[in-house]
Amino acid sequence: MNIIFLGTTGIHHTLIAAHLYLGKLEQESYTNLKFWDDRKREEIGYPIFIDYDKKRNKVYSLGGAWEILMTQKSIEQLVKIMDFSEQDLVVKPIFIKRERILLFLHKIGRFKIVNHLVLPVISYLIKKEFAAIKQQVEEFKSGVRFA
Amino acid sequence: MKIIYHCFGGSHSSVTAAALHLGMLNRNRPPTVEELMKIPYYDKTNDSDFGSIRYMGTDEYDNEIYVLGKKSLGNRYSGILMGVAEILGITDQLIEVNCMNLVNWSMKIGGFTSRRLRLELLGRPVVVWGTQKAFYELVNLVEITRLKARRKKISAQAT
Repeated sequence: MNIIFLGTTGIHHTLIAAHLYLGKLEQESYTNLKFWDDRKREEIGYPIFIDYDKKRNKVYSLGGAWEILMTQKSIEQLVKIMDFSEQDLVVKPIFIKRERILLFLHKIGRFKIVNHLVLPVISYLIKKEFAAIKQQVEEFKSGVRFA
Repeated sequence: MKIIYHCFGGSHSSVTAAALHLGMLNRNRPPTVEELMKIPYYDKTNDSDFGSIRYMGTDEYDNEIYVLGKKSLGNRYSGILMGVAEILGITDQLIEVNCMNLVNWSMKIGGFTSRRLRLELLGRPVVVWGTQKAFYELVNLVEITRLKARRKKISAQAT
C-alpha cells in the first residue's frame, strides 16, 4: 500500500506529517529533515518518497498548492481508472490554519535572498501548527485500514 | 492505455483535443459552432468538474480517452499524475497531455466569461473563435499523442 500526505506544499507540514506517521519525529526539530524546504523537489510535482512504515507501506509527501481537495479528487479518480483501489493508494490531506500564508511565503521565497528571510517565518508558522498536524496524523493512524 | 488531456477548466482545449483524438471532429478544417457544441463537455462544465477525470470515449486502438480541468496548477499536475502512475507501477499505461500551451487569449477570455462569469451569450462566441484559431495546433498535438501512445504500446508489448 502507498500513503500520500497531501498539503499546500510537500516540503513543509506534509513532510512533518509523514515523519510523525512513521514515528520518526518526536520533537519539533523538523528543519533538519531530509527534503525540508527542498524547492527543486517540490517543483517537479512528483510525490516525494519518505520511507517505509512498519507494515512496509510506502509513505510519500506531496504538495497540491491552493487546490488540495481538487488534487485529492484527481488522484483518487486516477487510482480507480487505473483499476486500483484504496488498498493500493490512500491520500491523506493535511490542513493547517495558516496554509495560505505558508504557500504565499513559499512562492515569494523562490528568490534566494527572500528565501533566507521567509524560511524562519515558515518554521515559526509550522511550529504553531505542530499540534494540529500531529492530531491529524493520529486520526489517520487510527482510521486507516491496511491491506 | 489511458490518455488524459488536461487544461485549465477541462472544458475547451482538452475537450477539443480529446474529440479530435476520438474522430468526433474533421481534422482537415476548423469545426463549426454546431460541431463544437455537439462535443460532450464542450463549454458545459461547472466548478464541481475541476479535478474530475471525465471519460470521453475509446479510440480505435482501445485507448481510453479522458479530460481533466486542473485550474492553474500547470505542469505541476503532469508531475502529480505521472508520479502517482509511477507509484502504482503503471507509467507505461498512462499518457497525460497538457493542452495549456495551446490556449490562446480568445479562449482564455471567452472561457472565463462563459464558464466563470456564466455569461455564455458573450463568452461562447469568443471561446469558439479561439478554439477555431487554435484548431490546427490541437490537431498537431493529438497526432503527436497518438504516435506516442502507439510507440508506448509497442514497447510495452515488446517487453
